[in-house]
Amino acid sequence: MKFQKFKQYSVIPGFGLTLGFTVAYLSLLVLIPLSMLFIKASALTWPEFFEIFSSPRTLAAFRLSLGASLTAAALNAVFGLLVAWVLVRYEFPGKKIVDALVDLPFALPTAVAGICLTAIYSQNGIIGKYLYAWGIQSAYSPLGITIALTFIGLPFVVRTVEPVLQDLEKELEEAAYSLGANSWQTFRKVIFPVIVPSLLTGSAMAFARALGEYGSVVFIAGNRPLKTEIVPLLIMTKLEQYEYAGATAIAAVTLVISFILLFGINFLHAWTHRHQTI
Amino acid sequence: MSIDIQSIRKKFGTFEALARVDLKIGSGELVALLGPSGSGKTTLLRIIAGLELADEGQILFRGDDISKHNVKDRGVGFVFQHYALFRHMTVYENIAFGLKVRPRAVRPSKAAMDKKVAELLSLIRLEGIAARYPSQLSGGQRQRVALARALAIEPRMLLLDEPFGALDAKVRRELRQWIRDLHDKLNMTSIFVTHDQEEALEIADRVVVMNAGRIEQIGTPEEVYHYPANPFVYDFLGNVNFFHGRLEGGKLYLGDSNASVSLHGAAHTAGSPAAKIYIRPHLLDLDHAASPNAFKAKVKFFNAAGPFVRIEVLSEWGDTVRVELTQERFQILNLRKDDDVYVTFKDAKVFPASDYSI
Repeated sequence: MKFQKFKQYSVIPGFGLTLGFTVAYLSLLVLIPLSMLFIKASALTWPEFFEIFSSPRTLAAFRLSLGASLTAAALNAVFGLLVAWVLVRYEFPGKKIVDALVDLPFALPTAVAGICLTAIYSQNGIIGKYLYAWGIQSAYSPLGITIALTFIGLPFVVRTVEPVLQDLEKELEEAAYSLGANSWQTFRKVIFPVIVPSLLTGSAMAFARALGEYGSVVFIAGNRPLKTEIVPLLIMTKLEQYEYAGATAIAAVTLVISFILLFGINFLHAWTHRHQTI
Repeated sequence: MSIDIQSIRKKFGTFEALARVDLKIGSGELVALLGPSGSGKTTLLRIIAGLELADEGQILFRGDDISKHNVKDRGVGFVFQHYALFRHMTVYENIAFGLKVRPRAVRPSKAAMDKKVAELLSLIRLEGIAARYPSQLSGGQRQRVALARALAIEPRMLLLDEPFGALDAKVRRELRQWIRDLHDKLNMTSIFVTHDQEEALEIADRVVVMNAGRIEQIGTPEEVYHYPANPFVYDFLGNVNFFHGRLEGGKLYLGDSNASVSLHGAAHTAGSPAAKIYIRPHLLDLDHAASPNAFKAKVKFFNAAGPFVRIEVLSEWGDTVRVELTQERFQILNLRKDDDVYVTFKDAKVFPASDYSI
């Protein structure tokens, strides 16, 4: 097999330097810390590893974290698309403010977000008191966790879908209308397939972020083992009890799950995007 | 189907895109809307299609007022300049789109749809590409698929917005002729927008010349080319030389010189003697010998590539004049750069100077 030439001609020099820096930078920041995780975790024997992982507490935490993150990502996919649509398609007073609000979950310290959400959704909070009256426990419950995770994941979908919607040629819609399609058919068959790849990417990022989120969740979660304890919190608890091997084992599993999901979604992205370039 | 456009007006903000346009198009005609960018030709086409709504005026399709109908109900086939093919669909799915989105009651069966798509693919001479995606086609093929897609819904008329604009010159010429043949075969009322006068003159039954939101002239290609209604049309349809001059005693004095030519048939109706003279390069001739009807000039440049030799000469009063001679005539004259020559008029169009400015 013949290999392609590694370095291709380019007007701007610096291929060696920039690639070298990129590799070193990523190694220092990502690769070495993450490999330490696996080295630490490997201090455990397989039976020990399985024992930690199959304990009811760990399993409950994983079930909760994955479930809440997936729900949050799905909610963000739907409503993030809606927000992006409104921001791209319509002009209205205060549009700039709405636009800025979308980025707030990025900018806000997560602990601040957590405290705010708890204050609002707890039994005495301005929204919580109505929800509790209806029998909906909106804080210290899986629902509360999902609310926090939805909050921090919002910008991802909006900001990935927005540019794609903006670039969508108006002619495509006009063509669909002129061929007799109604608004729903035009959206469903012409617009939606074009934005699916970016929607998937945005949701994947929101999901990955949600899986690892700690700061905003711990306040609203209640943190009861087996009930409202998320994986990152479990890791923290184990670290505080000097169970380093246990903590790293759980962390390693989380990492593998995240990686597989991201990989899968990127693959899906490439697949849905395969015919979209002209 | 006949189309009757009655005093259509359209404004975009303060910009008047169309200022009371009237136009009648007969059933089965192939009409070109020709004009520079910003002349309102595309806006007019989009208003006919229903992609844009007019501020004032009516559009009648075979006598029925459809001004308020939206694009979906007008039954027009629209072809976009940049094809607007659905990239995530195959050629088959693109062409069948208009059939698939029909309400269930009037949607053709799968077999009927297959048959229709196969017919259209053979019509556009692209059999065997049904399973391909638009990204795998050339520009000319994409435009033909876009046309097939528009024809699939059996439209009452075909509207094409700069259909050849994004194609290279050779494909453009082929497709142009092909569209003409297709039009003759389908006998469907068709309107196309173009800024290329050659395109309009070559394939249209009638040409509508537009400028600044107004129709300047409507006529057959021969009419608008040989009998332009005003200087704009004359200038827009092909190369033209332009002189200032004055008419005195049946003689035309060019520039501010004493060079004069007598013109037969050059109508000049205005009271003032000042005139604007328009003449196409191929209606000028060059000679070595002086004659009473010629003015003197110097050869500055010539280019013999192509069917005609294009020559630029500099008149005594400083105007650059473009002349086109046949290859034979050029051989006989045996011109060199900086030769003195005499320019004679075979024909010219004289407009009063106050009339129009380009």
